[in-house]
Amino acid sequence: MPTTTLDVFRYQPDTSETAYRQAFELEHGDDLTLLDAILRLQNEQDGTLAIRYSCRSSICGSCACKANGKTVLACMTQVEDVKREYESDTVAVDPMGNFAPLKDLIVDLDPFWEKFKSVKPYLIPDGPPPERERIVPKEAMQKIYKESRCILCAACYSECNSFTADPEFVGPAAFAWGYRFAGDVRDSQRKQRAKLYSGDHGVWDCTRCMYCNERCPKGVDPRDAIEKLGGVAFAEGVTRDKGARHAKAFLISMRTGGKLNETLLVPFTDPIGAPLDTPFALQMLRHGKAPSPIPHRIKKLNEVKALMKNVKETI
Amino acid sequence: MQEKVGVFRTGSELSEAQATVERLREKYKSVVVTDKGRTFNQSLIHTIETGYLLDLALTMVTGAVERTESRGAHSRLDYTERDDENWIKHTLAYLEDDQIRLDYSEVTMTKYEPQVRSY
Repeated sequence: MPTTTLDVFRYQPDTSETAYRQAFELEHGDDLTLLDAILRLQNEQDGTLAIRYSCRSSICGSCACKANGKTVLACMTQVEDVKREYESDTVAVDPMGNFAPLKDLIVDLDPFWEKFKSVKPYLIPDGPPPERERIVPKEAMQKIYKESRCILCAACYSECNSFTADPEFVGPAAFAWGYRFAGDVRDSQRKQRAKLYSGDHGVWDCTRCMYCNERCPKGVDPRDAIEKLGGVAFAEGVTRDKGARHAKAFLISMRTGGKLNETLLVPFTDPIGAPLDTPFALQMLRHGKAPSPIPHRIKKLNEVKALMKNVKETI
Repeated sequence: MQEKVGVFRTGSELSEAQATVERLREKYKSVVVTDKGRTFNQSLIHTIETGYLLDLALTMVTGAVERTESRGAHSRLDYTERDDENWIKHTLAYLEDDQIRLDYSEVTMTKYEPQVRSY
């Protein structure tokens, strides 16, 4: 029988203000999920060990935590797989990142639910309800298929670098739900949603680190949803905010010069704030750290244009 | 309960299960909650739930011992026949003085009267 050492993050607010780590030894069969392992520790070794859980079959999204630093659903993760991946008999178990621990592996998800609510995660149809249901063609539903698989486990927030940097960033799962409704043919609020989602701390604040895509246990690909919401903003003409201007500056720069002109990117993105950065820009120029403000054209500009056209037509 | 009070059951197994549940309920009276904290005390929740489970187990097994026939998911291997003469009635169970008291009530007959299902 395999033996595993579970090195668990402990935080018992009733007895101590300081968190600590505790190693548990567990003998078990070959098939054992991380959640089973933790529940066995709870039953057999320490009744105070706490983890939020419910369905045990990766549909309720309660038991997200970290196994060796990666956010996973504990019920979906085989202990033996983790050991094999890290070539070690010890598995470090931690609560999700970016949230305050309440007790052991249980974190405070209130900020997560606030963000979720802020995107109006429900259908807002137009006019009075029809006599029967609103029929949606299969193809239209398939566009939002991935996003509608989200189970709100918050694993993406645990991994989100933008959320770490800005606690007010609306974040991956909430935007996945945003697209789930902005992309729904029955929804009447596409433009309003585009405005709501591209404000401060909105879609353009994502750093594109892709961790949400990588760690989402249900394959929702929240980063892709955020990208699609950028597309919705452009399609709805919501392009005056800094984020959209920034994206537009990239486009114009590529179309006219064939490569990114970083010196022009800043004033285009933020024409009011940019002059304040002028001394800094001059200093960078003097040290050869900034490209020339005079637009540069690459020789094969036509090829770039053809590529851009191709991409536009494909999407 | 999994082993002895499944769909297919016999009187002797049910009596054994009944004795086990009674013993466990007795034991439960001295149960200890290991977590003494006030935050997310899952140990306390599990302990309370175990008590309810034992009450429910006793209810099930007591009713099953008495019902000397087979009906639907209650399939007695020692009474394989359905007995409409004696057993068209609901079992009612009351927990009184820490014991199950059984009572029965009549079945309201509607358009579709219960009958033997033979496929």
